[in-house]
Amino acid sequence: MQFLYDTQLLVNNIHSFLFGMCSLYGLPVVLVTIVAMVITVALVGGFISVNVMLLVLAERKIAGHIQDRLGPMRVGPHGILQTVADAIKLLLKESIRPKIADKWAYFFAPVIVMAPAIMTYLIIPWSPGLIIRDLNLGLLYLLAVSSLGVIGIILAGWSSGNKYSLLGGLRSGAQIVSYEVAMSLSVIGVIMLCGSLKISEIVEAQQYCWYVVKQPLAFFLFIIAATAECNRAPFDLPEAESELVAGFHTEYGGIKFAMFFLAEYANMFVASAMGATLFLGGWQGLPILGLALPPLVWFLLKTYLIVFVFIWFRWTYPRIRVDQLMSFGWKVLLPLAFLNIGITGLVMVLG
Amino acid sequence: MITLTINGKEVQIEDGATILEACELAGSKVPTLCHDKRLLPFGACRICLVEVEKTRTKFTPSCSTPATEGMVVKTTTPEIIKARKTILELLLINHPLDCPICDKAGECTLQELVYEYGVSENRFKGKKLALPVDHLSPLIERNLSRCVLCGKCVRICNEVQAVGEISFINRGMKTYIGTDFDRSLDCEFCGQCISICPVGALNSRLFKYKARVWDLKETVTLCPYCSNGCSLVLGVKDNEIKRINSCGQVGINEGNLCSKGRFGYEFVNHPERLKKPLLKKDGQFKEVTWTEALDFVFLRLDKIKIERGAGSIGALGSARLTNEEVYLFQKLIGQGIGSRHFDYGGGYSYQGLVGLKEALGYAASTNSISEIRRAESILLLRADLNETHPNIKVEVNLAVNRNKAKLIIANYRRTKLSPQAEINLIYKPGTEVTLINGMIKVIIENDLINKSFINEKTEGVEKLKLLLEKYTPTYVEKVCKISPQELEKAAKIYAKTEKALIIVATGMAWGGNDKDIAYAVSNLALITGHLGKESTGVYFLGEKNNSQGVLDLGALSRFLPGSGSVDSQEYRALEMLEPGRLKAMYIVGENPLLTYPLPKIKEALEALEFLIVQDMFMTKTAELADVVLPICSFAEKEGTYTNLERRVQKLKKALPCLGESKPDLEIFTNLCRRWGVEVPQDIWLEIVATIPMYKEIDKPWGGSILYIEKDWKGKFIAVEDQEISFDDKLLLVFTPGHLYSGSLSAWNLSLLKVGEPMVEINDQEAKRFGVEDGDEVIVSSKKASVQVKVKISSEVPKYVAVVHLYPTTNMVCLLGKEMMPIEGSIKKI
Amino acid sequence: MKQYAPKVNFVITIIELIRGLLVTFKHLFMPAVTLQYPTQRWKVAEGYRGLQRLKVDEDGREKCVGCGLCAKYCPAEAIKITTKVMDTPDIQGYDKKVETYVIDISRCIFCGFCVEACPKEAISMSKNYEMACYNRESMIYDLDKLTKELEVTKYK
Repeated sequence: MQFLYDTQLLVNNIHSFLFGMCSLYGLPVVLVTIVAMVITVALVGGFISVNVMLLVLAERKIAGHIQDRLGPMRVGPHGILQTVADAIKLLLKESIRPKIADKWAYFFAPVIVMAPAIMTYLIIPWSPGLIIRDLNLGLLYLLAVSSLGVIGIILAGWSSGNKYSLLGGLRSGAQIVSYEVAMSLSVIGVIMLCGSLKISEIVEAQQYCWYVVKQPLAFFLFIIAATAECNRAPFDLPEAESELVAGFHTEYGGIKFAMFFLAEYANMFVASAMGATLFLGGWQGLPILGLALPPLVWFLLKTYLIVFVFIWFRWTYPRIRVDQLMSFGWKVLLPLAFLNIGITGLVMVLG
Repeated sequence: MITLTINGKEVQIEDGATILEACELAGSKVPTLCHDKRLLPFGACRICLVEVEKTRTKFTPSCSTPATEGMVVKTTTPEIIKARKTILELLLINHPLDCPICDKAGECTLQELVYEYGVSENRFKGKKLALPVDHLSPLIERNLSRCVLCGKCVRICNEVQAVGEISFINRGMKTYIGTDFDRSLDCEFCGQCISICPVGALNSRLFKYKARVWDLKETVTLCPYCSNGCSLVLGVKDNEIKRINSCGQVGINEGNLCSKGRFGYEFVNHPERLKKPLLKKDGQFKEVTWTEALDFVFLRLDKIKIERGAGSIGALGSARLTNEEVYLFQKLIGQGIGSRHFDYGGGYSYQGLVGLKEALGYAASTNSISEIRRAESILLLRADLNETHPNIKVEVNLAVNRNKAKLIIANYRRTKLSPQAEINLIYKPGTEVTLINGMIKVIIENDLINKSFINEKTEGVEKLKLLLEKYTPTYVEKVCKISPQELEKAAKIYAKTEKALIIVATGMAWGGNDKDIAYAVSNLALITGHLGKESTGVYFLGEKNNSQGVLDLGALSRFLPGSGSVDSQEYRALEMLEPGRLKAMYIVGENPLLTYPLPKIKEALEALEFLIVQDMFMTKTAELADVVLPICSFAEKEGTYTNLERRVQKLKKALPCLGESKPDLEIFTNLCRRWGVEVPQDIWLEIVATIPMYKEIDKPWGGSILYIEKDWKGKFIAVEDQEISFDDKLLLVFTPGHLYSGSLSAWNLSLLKVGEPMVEINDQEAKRFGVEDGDEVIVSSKKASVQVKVKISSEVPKYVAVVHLYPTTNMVCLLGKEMMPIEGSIKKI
Repeated sequence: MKQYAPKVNFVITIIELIRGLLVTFKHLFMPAVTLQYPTQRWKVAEGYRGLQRLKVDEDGREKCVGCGLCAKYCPAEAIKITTKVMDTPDIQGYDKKVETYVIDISRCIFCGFCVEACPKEAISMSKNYEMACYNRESMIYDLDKLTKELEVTKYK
């Protein structure tokens, strides 16, 4: 287990090993790179699947216990294999398409929602050095790619051929776009403090003091905006069960629905990972306690803490109405974000 | 009329009424346990106590105290309630707590009183009675522990039924109701005691534990047996008749029923009832649909009508059909098929009424049933009322017991009613006319005739007087074998009383000289002027429940205007059944193979080309038929019946038709339409339109008493007996018996008392022929011979052998034409 | 039209929101009230009105005498009784035998009136509440089903 503590070394070793192999056996670099890419993608895909399984179960169990009940108990001991059963069910379902649905749009909408969700995993810092690609514009990349998901949602709503799905899709689109602005603005404070968009540098900069201490308002705003981004309660009007049937994914079933589902939980993970990275110090351990946990574990702990907060929010708060939602996003969060930037700037100038 | 005050309300009531009746008139309800409208007051239970002002005693029993002028009565005071509660407590000391298993629960007077007066605790302690239960009597179960000693059963059996089977035994605390020597019951099982018992001490074994009283759906309808027209209350559960009860408030019988009426319902749900039409194919009966059966009937009959003429088709109806059905049937045969051969009842059973029409004017009895009990003398001619018309027997009993009437019974054997009679004239069978002529002669000789009546309202008396010259008492003695003293006494009793009536029973059991008897009897009534007044007149009792209606509605096509084509001669029933006379016959509800006195009847039926039988069961006649159509019973159809006093009453449907059986009305309607005969929606309206007498329901047509119009004249028709012999040969006669032909009653297993075919003779005759009780003998007349068992009875006189019918053998074929008595002999095997 | 919007105190909102979170957090650690049926079964209260049971006396005969009061009293008309005459009367001289005693469970409302009405205390309501079945016919319970003790399937 020692290698977990020192992942930077591990990554370097793998790198050199691979390229050593290359030059030793005369394999073209391109091939090795491609193989490496494929393996990475497979690992990421695997992680997402397992993660989603865990998250869905966690959500249901926590929801149950908050509501004084047990949650799934039957499938597997204490219901651990519940999501496996759900997944199998979804996969075995018949893939039907409404007659008036636009065939290709209907087909590709889940893909368009899914793809950006997976793409964002590129810049998640698991451990020192264990980032798939430490882009210089990491944060910008993240914000940009995660906005792409909106297209898929609106496309899904429109192509269902169902008025209510369309409304749901449009609402969802509007909501995500509005809260995008707030999220991006709240992150600017962090960028100002750190001075770089590179993720690993942001994490390193929090070595002695996590940014949550220096930017509480920004953290608070980020969390709220992130819940809105992921269409989670209390901002889940577009997809809530009792409104508009199921919103933009009403007409989807089987694998297509599984993709939306997957995308939502993948998104949630990424959002919490970002929250953990930007504000809670990423894979940095607590400086004072100096607990000897591997940085990966620290990172996962923090991420899952924020995920827990998301779940907690969902089962505590009632749903907000669409107009309240929009007014909150534009009239409360945005001014607060500007305020945050203003204060940060002021403090930085004054020393 | 006296006036008294009940609970502050003034009522007027006739003199002699009891306080209880005055209370009923005032609308104040006084509870009773031992009181019944039909019975004389008894005063045993003491529950009906009321407070009367200014009397010596604190309480007065209202059922047995006559009301007097100016009485002030209070029916409910706190003391009275306390007294009634105490009486109920005393009754409950020994009364076993059997309510969960007692059949009377739900209609038990004791239960209702205890509940009403709230007797929940008993201050007195005592042992519950544990007397033995009588399980041995056939239809009635006696549970002596539950008896409250009200005495109603004893009184009704005594006063109303005049049988006196049960009575109070012992005294004081040891009293119980029982028979002599504690044997099981051996009475006529009318079941009156069951219906009148206020608690569950007397129960019907047919109904025992079958259903709870509150589960039964009750329908009031008419009895299907005799022509009295009693109202029954059918208790139905799960589409089965569970029991029959009587109700004093409906109908004309005051809640009285006989054993056939009360226990004779098992045939309705009998498993052997026909449920589907049957068609004979290759000698076997096959079940077919109604359309197929009726199509077949129509096609064959039409073919026979076209090829052989309408005169080769005949129809036999039944006196059990409702008025509407008979009307439609004779329309079908008369207008549809065009045949005039339509008869019923052997052609002779209704001739008595025909005779009355010719002599008096209407083919019906002249007065109503309820007047019989106010008669002062009754001449019962050739009638065994206990067997055939038990409720008329009740009326006669009431006349004899309450009105001190003098009963003269003229029959060829002693009957159960004979102890009640003043004079019993046992005459030789077949000589009724001679007897009556003799009586008229005595009346003429003693100048007891009603001269004013004869002058104003009759004609033809001289011719009668001429004929009666030879009917001296000695002549009558020679022919009828009765003593002159008895004859004179009987004639004088009849002539001297103001209210004297004559009752004659008719039916297929009696001989064919009914018409002559009718003439003779109306002569007797006319000459004494006993006609057209209350409690006088002539009653001809029809045998079956619609005997009167069937006659009124033209079962004889000559009675109905404009029916039947002018086609050959009209055959009577017995003539129709000569072998080869007709080609096709339509028999409804009759069983000629068993009940018609023709020796060659089987050949006659087999010689027919086409035989249709419409019946409820597979009778012996139906076995020979080509088509058998199932019909439903009286409880499953609607219609009207006319009883012997000309009252038209309505039948009410209580059950759905069993299986696919249909009411006769539907079958006739279907066939009528095929021949183009118009069938109206409401047949009753058409009947009212075509038949002058039929106007209202529940009222006797022509009024309660006939012949009270000013310009009516009765005719004296001089008549004599057809065949008179003076010798001492043995005569074979028939008895109607309790079940007669068993067309309905043989299917009631509990009622079936007829054991086997038998002949009853006197012990002197038995010695003459050298037979003993129970021997197998061959009884033969010049027409036929049958093998039967012998029974020796002291009620049968010397020269008579009484033949009993049994539902599998045709015994009546022995007898003469139209069931007249015939000479016969008995030979031991 | 004048827009009416309530005045919201910002601080109180935040405090209430956090209080809400604390409530749910507290409930996270409270024991769940779920009863894992059918492995765990509910403990029924005394006097619970479940399926009827016809009682049997010491000699093994049913106490029911067939008086029909329970059938009359039943508000749903779920009980149907037919009785008949016993061929030989029993020891006390009674000869009423209950031929069929049928309770239609799909009609029964489990009110317990039949128990109140019975004069012989021959019927009582047991604690059995598990009567679900697959077809209508098996919801008609006749005499032996009602006198037998019904087994409860145990699940692991």
